Formats: sequence, structure tokens, C-alpha cells
Amino acid sequence: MIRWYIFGLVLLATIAGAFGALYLKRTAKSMKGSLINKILDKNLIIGLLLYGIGSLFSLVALKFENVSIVYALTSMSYIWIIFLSMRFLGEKINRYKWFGIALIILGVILMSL
Amino acid sequence: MMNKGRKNDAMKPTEEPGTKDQKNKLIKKTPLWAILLIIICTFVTAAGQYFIKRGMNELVLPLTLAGLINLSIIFGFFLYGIGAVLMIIALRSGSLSVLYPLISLGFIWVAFISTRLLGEILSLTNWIGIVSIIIGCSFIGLSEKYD
Repeated sequence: MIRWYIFGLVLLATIAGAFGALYLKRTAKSMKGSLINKILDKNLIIGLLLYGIGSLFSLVALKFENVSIVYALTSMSYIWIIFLSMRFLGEKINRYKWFGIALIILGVILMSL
Repeated sequence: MMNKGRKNDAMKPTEEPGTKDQKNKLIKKTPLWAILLIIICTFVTAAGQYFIKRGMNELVLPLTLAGLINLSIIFGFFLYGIGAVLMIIALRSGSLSVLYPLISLGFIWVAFISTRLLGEILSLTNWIGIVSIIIGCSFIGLSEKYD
């Protein structure tokens, strides 16, 4: 049975990573202007910052738990990305995605036991 | 039990011939090199994960940011970066429905590497969990094609 704080760390890491991906996607959509403008792009900085925070959380989790477990748990990010894309990018969730989400949740539970 | 119900539901073909044809035209055909690239990407990423874990095992508690400047960890992140670049290149010229299921192969490599090289132990339940996650990711990728 995985310790609850390890699960919490990976959960936070995947949520931060998914929000990071969302901001990077926004950057990719809005990129224009000079190189300086691109580097100082607000969405890019927020996205990278969130990625960094997510990495730190998963590093701490890796210190105290096996990588085979932690890496499998990071698949939760697929779920958050689907929900975030629906909420902020207007993408639809079809039944294939729902089935995929259900299987990932099942897998995460089996990895946590 | 609930999953079984969902499975049958998901297997039903959607009956929208017009939109389906249009959609299939929009989906790019995936070239072989993109498929090979994504498989290499999963290997590189899994290797990166191995080195990061090895580095974390070397660290002494309490954890500090300065402690993260460790050769194994840096090399692991370097491999991760290469994996990300390979993935972006492959995704640009291939379709998600083919590449997503392949990306989830990484879960298998990490499981093999960590049990063989790091002495980690996975129970049968854990292995079933990994397979479930891989099939789940594959369905998310396939949703693009069969929507």
C-alpha cells in the first residue's frame, strides 16, 4: 500500500504538469513578435514554472518510493489534461476518452495497493 | 463490473458516416519513421527515469535544492529533454491515434528496468495495473480516430 503523502505528491505533480502543458499550449498558439517577446511571454513562463514545480514534487516522491510505482502514477496527468482541454480549449470528451480515463483510474488504484 | 458496462459502450461504433469520413481525411497518415522515433523516445525517456531514480537514491536526507546537482539526476533530465524533442518531432508528422498507444510503452520499459536494474518488486496486481494504464492511454489516443 502506497503511503498517502507519496500519492499526494504525485497527484500534485501531475496536476501542476497538466496546467503547465495547458499554458505551453497557449504559448504555442499566441507566439508572435521578437525573440525577446517570445522568451518573456507570460504563458511560457507560467507553463515552465508549473512544469518545474511538478518535477520537484515527483523528485521528492521518487526519493521515498519505487520508480516503477511513481512513474505509473504519473499517468494521472492524461486524465487532468483531458479535463483541462475540455474546460479551457473546448475539446470534447467522447466515450473512448471516458473508457481510457476509467482504465487509467483502475490502473492507478492497482498500482497503489 | 462498472468497467465492463463502459467497455461495451465504448466498443459500439458511432454512426455518423459523413463526419467520420471528413475526420479521417483530416487525420494525417503516420509515416514509419515517426513510429520508430516515438519508440526510441520511450526508450530514452525510460532510461532518463532510471538515472533520475538512481540519483535520488544516492542523495542523503534532508533533501535540498543544491543536492539535486547530481551527475545521475542531471544526465536523467538530459535524456528526458531528448525524449521530449523526439516526441514533439514525431507528433508533428504523425497522428495521435497511432503514436499515443506507443508512447505508453514507456510504462513497460520503466517497469522492466526498475525490476531488473534497481531490484524493485512489482506484484501481479501492479503488473495488471500497468497493463490497464497502457490500454487506457491507447484508448485516449484512439479516440481521435474513432470519434
